[in-house]
Amino acid sequence: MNEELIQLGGKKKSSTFMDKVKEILPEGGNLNLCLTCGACSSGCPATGLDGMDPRKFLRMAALGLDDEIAKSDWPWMCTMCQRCIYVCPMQIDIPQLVFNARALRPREQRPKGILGSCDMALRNESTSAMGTAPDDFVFVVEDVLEEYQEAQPEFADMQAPIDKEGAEFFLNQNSREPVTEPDELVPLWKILHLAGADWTYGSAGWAGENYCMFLADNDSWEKVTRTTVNQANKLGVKTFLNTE
Amino acid sequence: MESHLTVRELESRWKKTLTATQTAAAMHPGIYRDLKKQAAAIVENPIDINDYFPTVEKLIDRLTTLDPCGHGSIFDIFSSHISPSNIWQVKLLRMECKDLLAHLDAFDRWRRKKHHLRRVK
Repeated sequence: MNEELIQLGGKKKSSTFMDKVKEILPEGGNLNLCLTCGACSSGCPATGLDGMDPRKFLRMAALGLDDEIAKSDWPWMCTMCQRCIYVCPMQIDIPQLVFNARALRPREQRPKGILGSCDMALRNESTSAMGTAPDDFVFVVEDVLEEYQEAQPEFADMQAPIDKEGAEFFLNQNSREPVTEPDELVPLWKILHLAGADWTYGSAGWAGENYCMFLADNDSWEKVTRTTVNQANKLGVKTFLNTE
Repeated sequence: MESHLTVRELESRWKKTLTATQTAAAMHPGIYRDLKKQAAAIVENPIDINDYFPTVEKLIDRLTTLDPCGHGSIFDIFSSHISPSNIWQVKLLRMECKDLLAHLDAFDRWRRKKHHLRRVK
């Protein structure tokens, strides 16, 4: 950074976020340029929620306002959609800062909905944030498949395999669908059937949502992801199709 | 949303902002110094909620005096940022003032660099 740029770093107190901003600022990046830009704020679906403004959030981080960031609810308004990175002329990774900001808060003080969903996913091998057990998932898939095979003769040969060894694709599934909207499972099955894809669900690790990532709980995030990866490896499936 | 902005365009905008700021600060050097003092005081000291509007009014008055016609200077941009209608949370005033000072610091360094002045001891 040359002399004209805003100086990151202060003598008075150390700041975690200043260092993080330095890490994510691309070569030749200049935070002064944000003053007349604001593309991140314009593109963010969370802008305005509780006064959320990604540009201001970045400024707070760059100015070393760690305490203010830790107390703020702004990091929890972010959906991690990464649109801000896409529209930023410097591709500054604001969601990475958001993730770091979330991790500052003690786990038990993080938003109940996300916390509960993460904890639920850790309860059984499904990794389902709705707590759906593997047996229930298998039952729903088989039941819905049978219904469609009978009702739609053109799909009488359609399959929805679970734990098929050596399949080409390992597919995951948002657990809201088997639990609340089972008919919504079918369109993707139909596409895969018509495409002639060789695919399978896993009885373990089939749930695609990962609230532990949104919770900024690295260990649990890894545990959920590893359950899926281990199941795919166990079945000898090479390609993971992430539907989330 | 300006989705096609490039870094080069932003750099050009920033240069224009610095130039407009220089013109404005040169017209009212005393007010410029007062503005920095007031912003620093807001950053460093607590403000009673009852003093919020008078404080902001004074600050905005200085910013608009420096750039009354809105020529895109740092003063112009921050008079909009600091306006109570744009600050969703009162506590963000301190952040905005800190941000203003950071930008003015960058401006001062840019201005000094342009003049190539040396102190003779």
